[in-house]
Amino acid sequence: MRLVAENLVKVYGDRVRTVALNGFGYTFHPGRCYAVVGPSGSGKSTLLYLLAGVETPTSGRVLLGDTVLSSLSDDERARLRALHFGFVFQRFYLLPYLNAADNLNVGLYLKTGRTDARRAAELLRTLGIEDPYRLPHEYSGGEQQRIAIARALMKDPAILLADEPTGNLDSANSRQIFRILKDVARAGRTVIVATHDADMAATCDVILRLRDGRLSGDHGL
Amino acid sequence: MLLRMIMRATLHHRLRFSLAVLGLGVSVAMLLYLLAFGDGARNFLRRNLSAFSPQILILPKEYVSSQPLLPRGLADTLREMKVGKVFSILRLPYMGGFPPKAMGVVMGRDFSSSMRFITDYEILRGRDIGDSTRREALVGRGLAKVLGLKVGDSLTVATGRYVVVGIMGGEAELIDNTVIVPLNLLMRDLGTDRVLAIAVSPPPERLNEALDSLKAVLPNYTVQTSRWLADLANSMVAFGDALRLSLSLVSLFVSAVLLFAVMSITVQERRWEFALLRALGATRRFLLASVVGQSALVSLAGWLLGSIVGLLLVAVSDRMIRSRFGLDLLDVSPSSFALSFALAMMIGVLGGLLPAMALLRSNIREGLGG
Repeated sequence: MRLVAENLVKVYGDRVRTVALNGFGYTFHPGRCYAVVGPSGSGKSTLLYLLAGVETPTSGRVLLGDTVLSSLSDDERARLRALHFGFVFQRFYLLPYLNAADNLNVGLYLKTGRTDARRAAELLRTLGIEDPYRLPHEYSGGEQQRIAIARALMKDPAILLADEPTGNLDSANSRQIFRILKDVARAGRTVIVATHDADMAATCDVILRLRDGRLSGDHGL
Repeated sequence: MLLRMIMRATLHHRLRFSLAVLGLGVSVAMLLYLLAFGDGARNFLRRNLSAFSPQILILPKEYVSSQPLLPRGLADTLREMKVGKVFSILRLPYMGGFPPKAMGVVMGRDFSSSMRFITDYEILRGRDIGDSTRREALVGRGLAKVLGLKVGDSLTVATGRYVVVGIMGGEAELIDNTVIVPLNLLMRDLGTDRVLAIAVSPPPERLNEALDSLKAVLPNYTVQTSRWLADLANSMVAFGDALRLSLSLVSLFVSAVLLFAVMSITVQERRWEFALLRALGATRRFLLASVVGQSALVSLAGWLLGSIVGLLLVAVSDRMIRSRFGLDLLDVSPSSFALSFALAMMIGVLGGLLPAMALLRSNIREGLGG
Protein backbone atom coordinates (compact mmCIF):
# COMPACT_ATOMS: atom_id res chain seq x y z
CA MET A 1 0.00 0.00 0.00
CA ARG A 2 1.46 3.32 -1.09
CA LEU A 3 1.88 6.09 1.46
CA VAL A 4 2.14 9.60 0.05
CA ALA A 5 3.03 12.82 1.86
CA GLU A 6 2.05 15.92 -0.13
CA ASN A 7 3.59 19.24 0.81
CA LEU A 8 3.18 18.64 4.55
CA VAL A 9 3.35 21.66 6.82
CA LYS A 10 3.00 21.36 10.58
CA VAL A 11 3.06 24.42 12.80
CA TYR A 12 2.76 24.20 16.61
CA GLY A 13 1.61 27.00 18.90
CA ASP A 14 -0.55 30.07 18.40
CA ARG A 15 1.47 32.95 19.82
CA VAL A 16 4.92 31.44 19.46
CA ARG A 17 4.76 29.50 16.24
CA THR A 18 7.15 26.61 15.74
CA VAL A 19 7.36 25.18 12.26
CA ALA A 20 8.08 21.47 12.66
CA LEU A 21 7.56 20.51 9.02
CA ASN A 22 7.68 22.97 6.16
CA GLY A 23 6.52 21.53 2.87
CA PHE A 24 7.59 17.89 3.06
CA GLY A 25 6.59 15.74 0.13
CA TYR A 26 7.48 12.12 -0.60
CA THR A 27 6.03 8.81 -1.75
CA PHE A 28 6.81 5.69 0.29
CA HIS A 29 6.63 2.33 -1.44
CA PRO A 30 6.07 -1.12 -0.01
CA GLY A 31 9.04 -3.44 0.44
CA ARG A 32 11.52 -0.71 1.35
CA CYS A 33 13.14 0.50 4.50
CA TYR A 34 13.35 4.29 4.80
CA ALA A 35 15.58 6.01 7.33
CA VAL A 36 14.58 9.57 8.23
CA VAL A 37 17.62 11.36 9.61
CA GLY A 38 18.32 14.86 10.78
CA PRO A 39 19.26 16.87 13.87
CA SER A 40 16.99 17.19 16.88
CA GLY A 41 13.97 19.33 16.07
CA SER A 42 14.25 18.75 12.35
CA GLY A 43 10.75 17.22 12.28
CA LYS A 44 11.49 13.47 12.15
CA SER A 45 9.00 12.44 14.83
CA THR A 46 6.42 14.94 13.59
CA LEU A 47 6.66 13.36 10.15
CA LEU A 48 5.98 9.89 11.56
CA TYR A 49 3.00 11.10 13.60
CA LEU A 50 1.56 12.87 10.54
CA LEU A 51 2.09 9.82 8.31
CA ALA A 52 0.19 7.66 10.83
CA GLY A 53 -2.61 10.16 11.29
CA VAL A 54 -1.81 10.59 14.98
CA GLU A 55 -1.60 14.30 14.20
CA THR A 56 -3.12 16.28 11.36
CA PRO A 57 -1.04 18.61 9.18
CA THR A 58 -1.52 22.37 9.26
CA SER A 59 -1.57 22.14 5.46
CA GLY A 60 -0.81 19.48 2.88
CA ARG A 61 -2.12 15.94 3.10
CA VAL A 62 -1.23 12.31 3.65
CA LEU A 63 -2.70 9.61 1.44
CA LEU A 64 -2.79 5.94 2.30
CA GLY A 65 -3.77 4.37 -0.99
CA ASP A 66 -6.60 6.66 -2.04
CA THR A 67 -7.63 7.69 1.46
CA VAL A 68 -6.79 11.19 2.62
CA LEU A 69 -6.04 10.82 6.32
CA SER A 70 -6.98 14.37 7.33
CA SER A 71 -10.47 13.88 5.87
CA LEU A 72 -11.18 11.19 8.47
CA SER A 73 -12.45 11.61 12.02
CA ASP A 74 -10.26 10.82 15.03
CA ASP A 75 -11.78 7.39 15.46
CA GLU A 76 -11.62 6.63 11.73
CA ARG A 77 -7.91 7.44 11.73
CA ALA A 78 -7.47 5.26 14.83
CA ARG A 79 -9.22 2.43 13.00
CA LEU A 80 -6.93 2.98 10.01
CA ARG A 81 -3.88 2.77 12.28
CA ALA A 82 -5.23 -0.41 13.84
CA LEU A 83 -5.61 -1.96 10.38
CA HIS A 84 -2.49 -0.79 8.53
CA PHE A 85 0.14 0.71 10.85
CA GLY A 86 2.59 -0.71 13.32
CA PHE A 87 4.45 1.54 15.77
CA VAL A 88 7.79 1.12 17.51
CA PHE A 89 9.00 3.76 19.99
CA GLN A 90 12.34 4.65 21.55
CA ARG A 91 10.98 3.99 25.06
CA PHE A 92 9.42 0.63 24.10
CA TYR A 93 6.10 1.52 25.76
CA LEU A 94 5.15 -2.01 26.74
CA LEU A 95 2.14 -2.18 29.04
CA PRO A 96 3.78 -2.99 32.39
CA TYR A 97 0.98 -5.17 33.78
CA LEU A 98 0.71 -7.48 30.75
CA ASN A 99 3.18 -10.23 29.92
CA ALA A 100 5.04 -10.15 26.62
CA ALA A 101 2.53 -12.35 24.79
CA ASP A 102 -0.40 -10.27 26.02
CA ASN A 103 1.39 -7.08 24.95
CA LEU A 104 1.56 -8.53 21.44
CA ASN A 105 -2.09 -9.40 21.52
CA VAL A 106 -3.13 -5.83 22.33
CA GLY A 107 -2.28 -4.75 18.80
CA LEU A 108 -4.00 -7.76 17.24
CA TYR A 109 -7.06 -7.23 19.42
CA LEU A 110 -7.37 -3.59 18.36
CA LYS A 111 -7.28 -4.71 14.72
CA THR A 112 -9.40 -7.85 14.77
CA GLY A 113 -11.12 -8.02 18.15
CA ARG A 114 -9.40 -11.39 18.71
CA THR A 115 -6.23 -12.64 20.37
CA ASP A 116 -3.86 -15.44 19.39
CA ALA A 117 -1.59 -16.58 22.23
CA ARG A 118 0.15 -19.28 20.14
CA ARG A 119 1.05 -16.94 17.35
CA ALA A 120 2.30 -14.36 19.84
CA ALA A 121 4.61 -16.94 21.42
CA GLU A 122 5.86 -18.07 17.99
CA LEU A 123 6.53 -14.53 16.85
CA LEU A 124 8.43 -13.77 20.05
CA ARG A 125 10.53 -16.93 19.61
CA THR A 126 11.31 -15.87 16.04
CA LEU A 127 12.71 -12.63 17.48
CA GLY A 128 14.73 -14.49 20.11
CA ILE A 129 12.37 -14.18 23.11
CA GLU A 130 12.10 -17.71 24.48
CA ASP A 131 9.83 -17.10 27.47
CA PRO A 132 6.81 -15.06 26.34
CA TYR A 133 5.01 -14.99 29.69
CA ARG A 134 7.17 -12.69 31.73
CA LEU A 135 6.34 -9.07 32.55
CA PRO A 136 8.20 -6.39 30.52
CA HIS A 137 10.52 -5.28 33.35
CA GLU A 138 11.88 -8.83 33.54
CA TYR A 139 13.43 -8.49 30.07
CA SER A 140 16.56 -6.58 29.02
CA GLY A 141 16.28 -3.34 27.01
CA GLY A 142 17.10 -5.12 23.73
CA GLU A 143 14.54 -7.81 24.45
CA GLN A 144 11.90 -5.22 25.30
CA GLN A 145 12.45 -3.47 21.99
CA ARG A 146 12.17 -6.78 20.14
CA ILE A 147 8.90 -7.39 21.98
CA ALA A 148 7.74 -3.94 20.88
CA ILE A 149 8.61 -4.79 17.27
CA ALA A 150 6.81 -8.11 17.64
CA ARG A 151 3.77 -6.23 18.92
CA ALA A 152 3.81 -4.09 15.81
CA LEU A 153 4.25 -7.12 13.55
CA MET A 154 1.64 -9.23 15.33
CA LYS A 155 -1.19 -7.56 13.45
CA ASP A 156 0.66 -7.81 10.11
CA PRO A 157 0.69 -4.09 9.27
CA ALA A 158 1.37 -2.72 5.80
CA ILE A 159 3.46 0.08 7.25
CA LEU A 160 5.83 -0.04 10.20
CA LEU A 161 6.86 3.27 11.77
CA ALA A 162 9.75 3.33 14.21
CA ASP A 163 10.69 6.46 16.15
CA GLU A 164 14.32 6.22 17.34
CA PRO A 165 13.95 2.49 17.99
CA THR A 166 17.59 2.09 18.99
CA GLY A 167 17.88 5.28 21.05
CA ASN A 168 18.02 3.33 24.33
CA LEU A 169 20.07 0.37 23.10
CA ASP A 170 23.76 -0.53 22.82
CA SER A 171 25.31 -1.00 19.40
CA ALA A 172 24.95 -4.81 19.32
CA ASN A 173 21.26 -4.60 20.11
CA SER A 174 20.86 -1.67 17.68
CA ARG A 175 22.34 -3.73 14.84
CA GLN A 176 20.01 -6.60 15.67
CA ILE A 177 16.96 -4.29 15.67
CA PHE A 178 17.88 -2.80 12.29
CA ARG A 179 18.45 -6.28 10.89
CA ILE A 180 14.92 -7.18 11.98
CA LEU A 181 13.48 -3.99 10.48
CA LYS A 182 15.22 -4.72 7.17
CA ASP A 183 13.75 -8.23 7.19
CA VAL A 184 10.32 -6.74 7.83
CA ALA A 185 10.74 -4.50 4.78
CA ARG A 186 11.93 -7.42 2.67
CA ALA A 187 8.71 -9.20 3.56
CA GLY A 188 6.86 -6.51 1.55
CA ARG A 189 6.06 -3.90 4.18
CA THR A 190 6.94 -0.23 4.19
CA VAL A 191 9.33 0.51 7.05
CA ILE A 192 10.02 4.12 8.01
CA VAL A 193 12.57 4.67 10.76
CA ALA A 194 13.39 8.01 12.35
CA THR A 195 16.93 7.78 13.74
CA HIS A 196 19.95 9.75 14.87
CA ASP A 197 22.22 6.83 14.22
CA ALA A 198 23.93 7.40 10.86
CA ASP A 199 25.49 3.92 10.81
CA MET A 200 22.15 2.27 11.34
CA ALA A 201 20.44 4.55 8.86
CA ALA A 202 23.00 3.51 6.26
CA THR A 203 21.69 -0.05 6.40
CA CYS A 204 18.25 1.14 5.13
CA ASP A 205 17.31 1.23 1.44
CA VAL A 206 16.61 4.99 1.40
CA ILE A 207 17.87 7.78 3.64
CA LEU A 208 15.72 10.92 3.85
CA ARG A 209 17.51 13.91 5.31
CA LEU A 210 15.41 16.50 7.09
CA ARG A 211 16.62 20.00 7.88
CA ASP A 212 14.33 22.70 9.28
CA GLY A 213 11.29 20.69 8.43
CA ARG A 214 12.21 20.22 4.80
CA LEU A 215 13.59 17.29 2.86
CA SER A 216 17.17 18.31 2.18
CA GLY A 217 18.03 15.27 0.18
CA ASP A 218 17.47 11.58 -0.29
CA HIS A 219 19.93 8.87 -0.88
CA GLY A 220 19.26 5.35 -1.94
CA LEU A 221 17.36 3.62 -4.67
CA MET B 1 -8.69 -8.75 26.19
CA LEU B 2 -10.27 -5.53 27.45
CA LEU B 3 -11.40 -7.24 30.62
CA ARG B 4 -7.95 -8.79 31.10
CA MET B 5 -6.33 -5.39 30.67
CA ILE B 6 -8.73 -3.85 33.19
CA MET B 7 -8.12 -6.63 35.72
CA ARG B 8 -4.34 -6.61 35.35
CA ALA B 9 -4.10 -2.80 35.41
CA THR B 10 -6.19 -2.78 38.59
CA LEU B 11 -4.09 -5.47 40.26
CA HIS B 12 -0.96 -3.55 39.21
CA HIS B 13 -1.96 -0.82 41.72
CA ARG B 14 -3.26 -3.09 44.45
CA LEU B 15 -2.84 -0.78 47.43
CA ARG B 16 -4.48 2.21 45.80
CA PHE B 17 -7.49 0.31 44.54
CA SER B 18 -7.79 -1.72 47.74
CA LEU B 19 -8.22 1.54 49.64
CA ALA B 20 -10.87 2.70 47.19
CA VAL B 21 -12.65 -0.68 47.51
CA LEU B 22 -12.43 -0.42 51.29
CA GLY B 23 -13.84 3.12 51.33
CA LEU B 24 -16.74 2.16 49.12
CA GLY B 25 -17.26 -1.07 51.05
CA VAL B 26 -17.58 0.81 54.35
CA SER B 27 -20.13 3.18 52.80
CA VAL B 28 -22.18 0.35 51.29
CA ALA B 29 -22.07 -1.59 54.57
CA MET B 30 -23.21 1.51 56.43
CA LEU B 31 -26.02 2.09 53.94
CA LEU B 32 -27.28 -1.49 54.22
CA TYR B 33 -26.96 -1.49 58.00
CA LEU B 34 -28.85 1.76 58.48
CA LEU B 35 -31.53 0.86 55.94
CA ALA B 36 -31.95 -2.49 57.70
CA PHE B 37 -33.18 -0.59 60.77
CA GLY B 38 -35.76 1.22 58.66
CA ASP B 39 -36.93 -1.94 56.90
CA GLY B 40 -36.95 -3.76 60.23
CA ALA B 41 -38.99 -1.03 61.92
CA ARG B 42 -41.51 -0.98 59.07
CA ASN B 43 -41.90 -4.75 59.13
CA PHE B 44 -42.09 -4.68 62.93
CA LEU B 45 -44.96 -2.20 62.79
CA ARG B 46 -46.75 -4.17 60.08
CA ARG B 47 -46.48 -7.40 62.04
CA ASN B 48 -47.42 -5.89 65.38
CA LEU B 49 -50.16 -3.44 64.52
CA SER B 50 -52.27 -6.28 63.17
CA ALA B 51 -52.34 -7.73 66.69
CA PHE B 52 -54.34 -4.80 68.01
CA SER B 53 -58.06 -4.46 67.63
CA PRO B 54 -59.28 -1.72 65.25
CA GLN B 55 -60.70 1.15 67.24
CA ILE B 56 -60.88 4.85 67.90
CA LEU B 57 -58.20 6.20 70.20
CA ILE B 58 -58.68 9.15 72.50
CA LEU B 59 -55.46 10.82 73.51
CA PRO B 60 -54.53 14.07 75.23
CA LYS B 61 -54.55 17.11 72.93
CA GLU B 62 -51.18 17.67 71.19
CA TYR B 63 -50.24 14.17 72.25
CA VAL B 64 -46.50 14.14 72.93
CA SER B 65 -46.26 12.60 76.37
CA SER B 66 -45.75 9.02 77.44
CA GLN B 67 -47.15 9.95 80.85
CA PRO B 68 -50.74 8.98 81.77
CA LEU B 69 -52.75 12.21 81.42
CA LEU B 70 -56.33 11.13 80.76
CA PRO B 71 -58.78 10.89 83.70
CA ARG B 72 -60.04 7.36 83.93
CA GLY B 73 -63.53 8.65 84.61
CA LEU B 74 -63.71 9.70 80.99
CA ALA B 75 -64.08 6.04 80.07
CA ASP B 76 -67.25 5.79 82.17
CA THR B 77 -68.65 8.91 80.47
CA LEU B 78 -67.99 7.39 77.07
CA ARG B 79 -69.65 4.12 78.08
CA GLU B 80 -72.77 6.09 78.90
CA MET B 81 -72.70 7.51 75.35
CA LYS B 82 -73.01 3.91 74.07
CA VAL B 83 -70.77 4.55 71.03
CA GLY B 84 -69.16 1.14 71.39
CA LYS B 85 -67.03 -0.93 73.72
CA VAL B 86 -64.73 1.26 75.80
CA PHE B 87 -61.58 0.40 77.65
CA SER B 88 -58.67 2.29 79.16
CA ILE B 89 -55.08 1.84 78.12
CA LEU B 90 -52.13 2.17 80.42
CA ARG B 91 -48.81 1.08 79.09
CA LEU B 92 -45.28 1.65 80.28
CA PRO B 93 -41.85 0.37 79.32
CA TYR B 94 -40.63 -2.71 81.11
CA MET B 95 -36.87 -3.34 81.30
CA GLY B 96 -36.88 -6.18 83.82
CA GLY B 97 -35.06 -4.17 86.49
CA PHE B 98 -31.84 -2.19 86.66
CA PRO B 99 -29.57 -2.49 84.83
CA PRO B 100 -32.03 -3.21 81.98
CA LYS B 101 -32.29 -6.88 81.13
CA ALA B 102 -35.03 -6.70 78.52
CA MET B 103 -36.97 -4.35 76.28
CA GLY B 104 -40.69 -4.83 76.76
CA VAL B 105 -43.90 -3.15 77.87
CA VAL B 106 -46.36 -3.58 80.71
CA MET B 107 -50.03 -3.31 79.75
CA GLY B 108 -52.86 -2.80 82.19
CA ARG B 109 -55.86 -4.95 81.39
CA ASP B 110 -59.16 -3.16 81.83
CA PHE B 111 -61.52 -5.72 83.34
CA SER B 112 -64.43 -3.28 83.16
CA SER B 113 -64.60 -3.99 79.42
CA SER B 114 -65.20 -7.27 77.62
CA MET B 115 -62.78 -6.15 74.93
CA ARG B 116 -59.02 -6.75 74.91
CA PHE B 117 -56.51 -4.31 73.50
CA ILE B 118 -54.35 -7.17 72.24
CA THR B 119 -56.54 -9.54 70.29
CA ASP B 120 -54.50 -12.46 69.13
CA TYR B 121 -52.47 -13.75 72.04
CA GLU B 122 -52.80 -17.31 73.19
CA ILE B 123 -51.92 -18.91 76.50
CA LEU B 124 -48.96 -21.22 76.01
CA ARG B 125 -48.53 -22.31 79.63
CA GLY B 126 -50.57 -21.73 82.79
CA ARG B 127 -53.70 -19.58 82.51
CA ASP B 128 -54.91 -16.02 81.85
CA ILE B 129 -55.08 -13.46 84.66
CA GLY B 130 -58.35 -13.86 86.56
CA ASP B 131 -59.79 -10.52 87.60
CA SER B 132 -58.91 -7.01 88.68
CA THR B 133 -58.27 -7.86 92.30
CA ARG B 134 -55.54 -10.47 92.14
CA ARG B 135 -51.90 -9.56 91.70
CA GLU B 136 -51.41 -11.86 88.73
CA ALA B 137 -49.37 -11.33 85.59
CA LEU B 138 -49.38 -12.84 82.13
CA VAL B 139 -45.89 -12.74 80.60
CA GLY B 140 -44.95 -12.91 76.91
CA ARG B 141 -42.73 -15.85 76.01
CA GLY B 142 -39.89 -13.61 74.82
CA LEU B 143 -39.67 -11.77 78.11
CA ALA B 144 -40.11 -15.00 80.04
CA LYS B 145 -37.16 -16.48 78.16
CA VAL B 146 -34.89 -13.46 78.56
CA LEU B 147 -35.75 -13.01 82.25
CA GLY B 148 -35.93 -16.73 83.01
CA LEU B 149 -39.51 -16.48 84.27
CA LYS B 150 -41.88 -19.41 84.54
CA VAL B 151 -45.38 -19.95 85.91
CA GLY B 152 -45.37 -19.47 89.67
CA ASP B 153 -42.45 -17.00 89.68
CA SER B 154 -42.98 -13.44 90.81
CA LEU B 155 -41.95 -10.17 89.17
CA THR B 156 -41.98 -6.52 90.18
CA VAL B 157 -43.78 -3.90 88.08
CA ALA B 158 -43.46 -0.30 89.23
CA THR B 159 -43.75 -0.83 93.00
CA GLY B 160 -45.99 -3.89 92.98
CA ARG B 161 -45.17 -7.58 92.95
CA TYR B 162 -47.13 -9.97 90.77
CA VAL B 163 -47.23 -13.74 90.41
CA VAL B 164 -46.77 -15.11 86.92
CA VAL B 165 -49.85 -17.25 86.22
CA GLY B 166 -49.36 -17.75 82.50
CA ILE B 167 -47.00 -17.45 79.56
CA MET B 168 -48.51 -16.07 76.37
CA GLY B 169 -47.44 -15.86 72.74
CA GLY B 170 -48.68 -14.56 69.43
CA GLU B 171 -47.76 -13.74 65.83
CA ALA B 172 -46.35 -10.35 66.84
CA GLU B 173 -43.15 -10.20 68.86
CA LEU B 174 -44.59 -7.23 70.76
CA ILE B 175 -46.91 -9.72 72.47
CA ASP B 176 -43.90 -11.89 73.25
CA ASN B 177 -42.40 -8.90 75.05
CA THR B 178 -45.45 -7.75 76.96
CA VAL B 179 -46.50 -8.22 80.57
CA ILE B 180 -50.24 -7.94 81.24
CA VAL B 181 -51.42 -7.10 84.75
CA PRO B 182 -54.78 -5.78 86.01
CA LEU B 183 -55.21 -2.09 85.13
CA ASN B 184 -56.56 -1.10 88.55
CA LEU B 185 -53.56 -2.55 90.35
CA LEU B 186 -51.10 -1.07 87.90
CA MET B 187 -52.62 2.38 88.43
CA ARG B 188 -52.42 1.89 92.19
CA ASP B 189 -48.74 0.86 91.91
CA LEU B 190 -48.01 3.94 89.84
CA GLY B 191 -49.96 6.15 92.22
CA THR B 192 -52.09 7.60 89.45
CA ASP B 193 -55.77 7.87 88.59
CA ARG B 194 -55.03 8.65 84.98
CA VAL B 195 -54.51 6.52 81.91
CA LEU B 196 -52.50 6.89 78.74
CA ALA B 197 -55.36 6.56 76.26
CA ILE B 198 -58.91 5.38 75.97
CA ALA B 199 -59.96 3.08 73.15
CA VAL B 200 -63.48 2.92 71.79
CA SER B 201 -64.47 0.06 69.54
CA PRO B 202 -67.69 0.86 67.72
CA PRO B 203 -69.38 -1.58 65.33
CA PRO B 204 -67.30 -1.45 62.10
CA GLU B 205 -70.15 0.01 60.04
CA ARG B 206 -70.52 2.90 62.52
CA LEU B 207 -66.84 3.77 62.79
CA ASN B 208 -67.01 7.13 60.97
CA GLU B 209 -70.21 8.14 62.68
CA ALA B 210 -68.74 7.34 66.10
CA LEU B 211 -65.53 9.18 65.21
CA ASP B 212 -67.47 12.34 64.29
CA SER B 213 -69.64 12.28 67.38
CA LEU B 214 -66.64 11.69 69.68
CA LYS B 215 -64.76 14.56 68.06
CA ALA B 216 -67.77 16.76 68.63
CA VAL B 217 -68.08 15.96 72.33
CA LEU B 218 -64.35 15.82 73.10
CA PRO B 219 -62.93 19.00 71.54
CA ASN B 220 -60.10 19.12 74.08
CA TYR B 221 -58.76 15.68 73.14
CA THR B 222 -57.17 14.07 70.13
CA VAL B 223 -59.71 11.64 68.70
CA GLN B 224 -58.36 9.45 65.92
CA THR B 225 -58.59 5.95 64.56
CA SER B 226 -55.88 3.44 65.34
CA ARG B 227 -55.13 3.54 61.61
CA TRP B 228 -54.08 7.16 62.11
CA LEU B 229 -51.68 6.04 64.83
CA ALA B 230 -50.24 3.42 62.49
CA ASP B 231 -49.79 6.03 59.77
CA LEU B 232 -48.11 8.32 62.28
CA ALA B 233 -45.72 5.53 63.27
CA ASN B 234 -45.01 4.77 59.62
CA SER B 235 -44.33 8.41 58.85
CA MET B 236 -41.89 8.51 61.78
CA VAL B 237 -40.14 5.47 60.33
CA ALA B 238 -40.06 7.18 56.93
CA PHE B 239 -38.52 10.27 58.54
CA GLY B 240 -35.94 8.03 60.16
CA ASP B 241 -35.32 6.44 56.76
CA ALA B 242 -34.65 9.84 55.26
CA LEU B 243 -32.19 10.67 58.04
CA ARG B 244 -30.40 7.35 57.73
CA LEU B 245 -30.32 7.60 53.95
CA SER B 246 -28.89 11.12 54.14
CA LEU B 247 -26.15 9.93 56.46
CA SER B 248 -25.37 7.04 54.13
CA LEU B 249 -25.35 9.31 51.10
CA VAL B 250 -22.80 11.60 52.77
CA SER B 251 -20.61 8.56 53.35
CA LEU B 252 -21.11 7.42 49.76
CA PHE B 253 -20.28 10.90 48.50
CA VAL B 254 -16.96 10.77 50.38
CA SER B 255 -16.29 7.37 48.77
CA ALA B 256 -17.16 8.80 45.37
CA VAL B 257 -14.66 11.63 45.88
CA LEU B 258 -12.05 9.06 46.95
CA LEU B 259 -12.71 6.94 43.88
CA PHE B 260 -12.65 9.99 41.63
CA ALA B 261 -9.29 11.02 43.11
CA VAL B 262 -7.87 7.51 42.68
CA MET B 263 -9.09 7.31 39.09
CA SER B 264 -7.78 10.79 38.27
CA ILE B 265 -4.33 9.94 39.61
CA THR B 266 -4.38 6.60 37.82
CA VAL B 267 -5.44 8.11 34.51
CA GLN B 268 -2.77 10.80 34.86
CA GLU B 269 -0.11 8.17 35.56
CA ARG B 270 -1.31 5.95 32.74
CA ARG B 271 -1.59 8.79 30.25
CA TRP B 272 1.21 7.33 28.15
CA GLU B 273 -0.57 3.97 28.09
CA PHE B 274 -3.73 5.51 26.72
CA ALA B 275 -1.73 7.58 24.25
CA LEU B 276 0.03 4.38 23.16
CA LEU B 277 -3.26 2.53 22.75
CA ARG B 278 -4.62 5.43 20.74
CA ALA B 279 -1.50 5.37 18.54
CA LEU B 280 -1.96 1.62 18.08
CA GLY B 281 -5.51 2.19 16.92
CA ALA B 282 -7.76 2.17 19.97
CA THR B 283 -10.99 4.12 19.52
CA ARG B 284 -12.30 6.62 22.06
CA ARG B 285 -14.93 4.09 23.04
CA PHE B 286 -12.26 1.52 23.85
CA LEU B 287 -10.38 3.98 26.08
CA LEU B 288 -13.60 5.09 27.74
CA ALA B 289 -14.55 1.47 28.37
CA SER B 290 -11.15 0.66 29.85
CA VAL B 291 -11.22 3.61 32.31
CA VAL B 292 -14.90 3.36 33.24
CA GLY B 293 -14.59 -0.43 33.34
CA GLN B 294 -11.77 -0.18 35.86
CA SER B 295 -13.73 2.25 37.99
CA ALA B 296 -16.85 0.09 37.77
CA LEU B 297 -14.80 -2.98 38.70
CA VAL B 298 -13.56 -1.22 41.83
CA SER B 299 -17.13 -0.19 42.65
CA LEU B 300 -18.40 -3.71 42.12
CA ALA B 301 -15.71 -5.06 44.45
CA GLY B 302 -16.57 -2.34 46.98
CA TRP B 303 -20.26 -3.19 46.75
CA LEU B 304 -19.55 -6.90 47.23
CA LEU B 305 -17.32 -6.21 50.22
CA GLY B 306 -19.84 -3.75 51.66
CA SER B 307 -22.71 -6.18 51.14
CA ILE B 308 -20.88 -8.97 52.94
CA VAL B 309 -19.79 -6.70 55.81
CA GLY B 310 -23.24 -5.08 55.98
CA LEU B 311 -24.99 -8.46 56.11
CA LEU B 312 -22.58 -9.67 58.79
CA LEU B 313 -23.21 -6.54 60.87
CA VAL B 314 -26.97 -6.93 60.48
CA ALA B 315 -26.77 -10.62 61.37
CA VAL B 316 -24.65 -9.99 64.48
CA SER B 317 -26.80 -7.04 65.64
CA ASP B 318 -30.00 -8.95 64.93
CA ARG B 319 -28.75 -11.89 66.96
CA MET B 320 -27.80 -9.62 69.86
CA ILE B 321 -31.14 -7.76 69.86
CA ARG B 322 -33.12 -11.00 69.57
CA SER B 323 -31.25 -12.76 72.34
CA ARG B 324 -31.28 -9.72 74.59
CA PHE B 325 -34.70 -8.21 73.90
CA GLY B 326 -36.53 -10.81 71.84
CA LEU B 327 -37.27 -8.26 69.12
CA ASP B 328 -36.85 -8.62 65.38
CA LEU B 329 -35.87 -5.07 64.47
CA LEU B 330 -33.47 -5.54 61.54
CA ASP B 331 -34.35 -6.58 58.02
CA VAL B 332 -32.37 -6.26 54.79
CA SER B 333 -34.83 -5.95 51.94
CA PRO B 334 -34.08 -6.65 48.25
CA SER B 335 -34.80 -2.99 47.55
CA SER B 336 -31.97 -1.96 49.91
CA PHE B 337 -29.63 -4.25 47.99
CA ALA B 338 -30.82 -2.85 44.70
CA LEU B 339 -30.42 0.72 45.95
CA SER B 340 -26.90 0.11 47.27
CA PHE B 341 -25.91 -1.62 44.01
CA ALA B 342 -27.34 1.18 41.87
CA LEU B 343 -25.59 3.86 43.94
CA ALA B 344 -22.26 1.98 43.96
CA MET B 345 -22.36 1.47 40.19
CA MET B 346 -23.37 5.07 39.60
CA ILE B 347 -20.35 6.15 41.65
CA GLY B 348 -18.21 3.71 39.67
CA VAL B 349 -19.35 4.98 36.30
CA LEU B 350 -19.12 8.66 37.23
CA GLY B 351 -15.81 8.18 39.05
CA GLY B 352 -14.31 6.80 35.83
CA LEU B 353 -16.25 8.85 33.32
CA LEU B 354 -15.01 12.27 34.38
CA PRO B 355 -11.26 11.41 34.31
CA ALA B 356 -11.84 9.50 31.06
CA MET B 357 -13.43 12.55 29.43
CA ALA B 358 -10.37 14.62 30.38
CA LEU B 359 -8.17 11.86 29.01
CA LEU B 360 -9.92 11.82 25.65
CA ARG B 361 -9.25 15.53 25.23
CA SER B 362 -5.50 15.05 25.75
CA ASN B 363 -2.95 14.97 22.95
CA ILE B 364 -1.52 11.58 21.93
CA ARG B 365 1.94 12.89 21.19
CA GLU B 366 2.16 14.74 24.50
CA GLY B 367 1.01 11.57 26.22
CA LEU B 368 3.90 9.72 24.61
CA GLY B 369 6.31 12.43 25.69
CA GLY B 370 6.99 13.42 22.09
